[in-house]
Amino acid sequence: MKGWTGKILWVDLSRGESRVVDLDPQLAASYVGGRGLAARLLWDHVPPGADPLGPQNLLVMAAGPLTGLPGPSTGKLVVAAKSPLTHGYGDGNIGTRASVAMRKAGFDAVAVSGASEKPVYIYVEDGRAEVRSAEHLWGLDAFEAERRLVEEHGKGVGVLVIGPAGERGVGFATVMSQEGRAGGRTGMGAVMGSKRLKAVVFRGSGDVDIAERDAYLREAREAYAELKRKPAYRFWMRQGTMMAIQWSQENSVLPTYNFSEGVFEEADKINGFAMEMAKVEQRGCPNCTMPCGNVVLDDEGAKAELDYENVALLGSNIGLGDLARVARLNRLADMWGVDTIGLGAAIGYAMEASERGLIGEKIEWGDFDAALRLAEAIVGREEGLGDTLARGLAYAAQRIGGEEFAMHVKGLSITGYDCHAAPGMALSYGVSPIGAHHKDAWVISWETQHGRFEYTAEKAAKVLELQRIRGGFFETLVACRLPWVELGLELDWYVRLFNHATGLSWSLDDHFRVADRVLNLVRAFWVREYSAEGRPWSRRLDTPPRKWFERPLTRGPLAGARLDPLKYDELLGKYYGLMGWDYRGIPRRSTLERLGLGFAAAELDRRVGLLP
Amino acid sequence: MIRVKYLGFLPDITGRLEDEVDAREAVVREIVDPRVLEVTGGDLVVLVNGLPSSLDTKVRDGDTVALLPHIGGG
Repeated sequence: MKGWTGKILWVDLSRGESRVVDLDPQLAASYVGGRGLAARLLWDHVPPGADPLGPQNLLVMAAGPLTGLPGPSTGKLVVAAKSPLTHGYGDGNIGTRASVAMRKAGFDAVAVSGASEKPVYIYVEDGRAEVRSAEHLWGLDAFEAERRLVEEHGKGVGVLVIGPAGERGVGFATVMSQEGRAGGRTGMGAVMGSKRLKAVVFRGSGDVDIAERDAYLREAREAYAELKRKPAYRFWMRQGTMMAIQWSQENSVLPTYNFSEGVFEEADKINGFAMEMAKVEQRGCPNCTMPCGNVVLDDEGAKAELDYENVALLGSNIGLGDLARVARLNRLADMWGVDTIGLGAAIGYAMEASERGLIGEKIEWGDFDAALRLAEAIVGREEGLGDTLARGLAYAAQRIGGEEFAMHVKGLSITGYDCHAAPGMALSYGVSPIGAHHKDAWVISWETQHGRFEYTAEKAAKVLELQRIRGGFFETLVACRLPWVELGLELDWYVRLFNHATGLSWSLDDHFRVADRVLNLVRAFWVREYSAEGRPWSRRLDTPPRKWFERPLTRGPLAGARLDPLKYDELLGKYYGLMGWDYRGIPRRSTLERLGLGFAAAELDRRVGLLP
Repeated sequence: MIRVKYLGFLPDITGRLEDEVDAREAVVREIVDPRVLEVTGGDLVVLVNGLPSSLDTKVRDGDTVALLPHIGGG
């Protein structure tokens, strides 16, 4: 089996034991890797209804056949588990040296079950693993803990680590690496923390056996060269994703005042051009020639790595037009190991709740000191507002009220695009496989030029097309989507690299079939878990918060715009039809069976009754 | 006067941030730097006075056209 290492490392933290299991070639062919492999492992090994923060949950770190091989931006892996934030399928991808080292150590994936009584970390080196004490690391922030581990094990290791937020079970705690790389905003850091797992350290000296090495390397070299010829390359190297602040402001989709508006009066102070003036360094993931980590000095003079999402959510969304202060919030979030997007969403919600008199705390728009205090209270899980927000927006809205402005879908907070005037993007958030996230189908750029305010079948089809590419193809390879999505490196490059690595002769359609299988299995996992927990499943779960339907934009050229609830529901139905799902948003039996998911059909039929 | 703003990486093509076109009426496509159309193949986000528009939108004296490349959204 070329291209895959063919091995999965299983670690049982309850027993402190590890074992190496062969990766079933049929499983590899059906799910490829990354999200696909993780989804199948979670389906098979997490007991239905398991407590996400209990020992029965499984934490999967999964690479794919391109991970770690030379090639455009292939230094990524997927972390996945049942999410404590959403109680459904949760994952995230993270660019890190750990992805390369994991493959060189001989593993396509690491699956961690059980829970340790005392803090531990897992040390993985060339085909074997040990569970070691992390008593000396527990309580340290993610940056310091990683520094200590690198000191102990030497340069050349790759580290996945959590900060205090993960240790304390903050619902949107992330897995961190390299002082600013983050993954798993669905609470994957909290799952690690619940297992008392502070870190996983990888060292590998082997090579992945690939089918056509010379052809692969030639193709990879040409892909890198082609990428640098793309017209947007130079500008990307200057601003990276930060260029999207200007873009979103011009298109009236920049999240502002807790997603009440799409334009921010101080956008110029936090956009890519402001960042360029303050930039001191540029960081990236392994194997990447278009590094997106733009580093500035924050208002305390410390380095902070910025990108669009964290500046949008910790800047305009909370009314803060001061890049150096946004940078401090961002740096602290990275050190604490908490999702910058989720933190900005929680602060924005609290500011609106304060404005509306739902809470006693005075937290005004743009008040940096109040935002900082609240962030500390969330990560410290201080009794009261901090602890309530640490459990996520869905929980907070139940306790505090303001459900209509708790900006989340299925418990995961919405990322950096206001959708008052973007029905297709609203659908993308509604049906994202992990709760509201842009990763799978960032349709808004296309949407601006294709009937911006319309609810067409074409939009539903575009969302599905992008989910197949972004959420399926790239998340299973595993490679970063940015060379394709931002600079236009054609998808065929990745198909050829995959074929050279594996010796297979797949077409893009073959990958899309895998994508459909993965998207449907992920959906089946959600339905199974909601059923097992006694939570009713309905299409309402695929609908964004009421604010976008009920309270129109009041500023900017699109003032007055809002979503139409009936038309949104029709659009959702069109998407369900394309997916082969029923009126509830549950896959039909025929859909699951066509994709080789008969085992999931049997389980769901027993639980919720499938339509044919 | 019609103002044409080039945003994102488009100034790397034009060498200018914007143009001021002396015309009473025009179609957007006619007043865009032709090199921008060539490099992007015309696949652009077009806004006229901040409203969603296209290269075929008619504009008049006093309007502002903003042209942005498509981006991927991270």
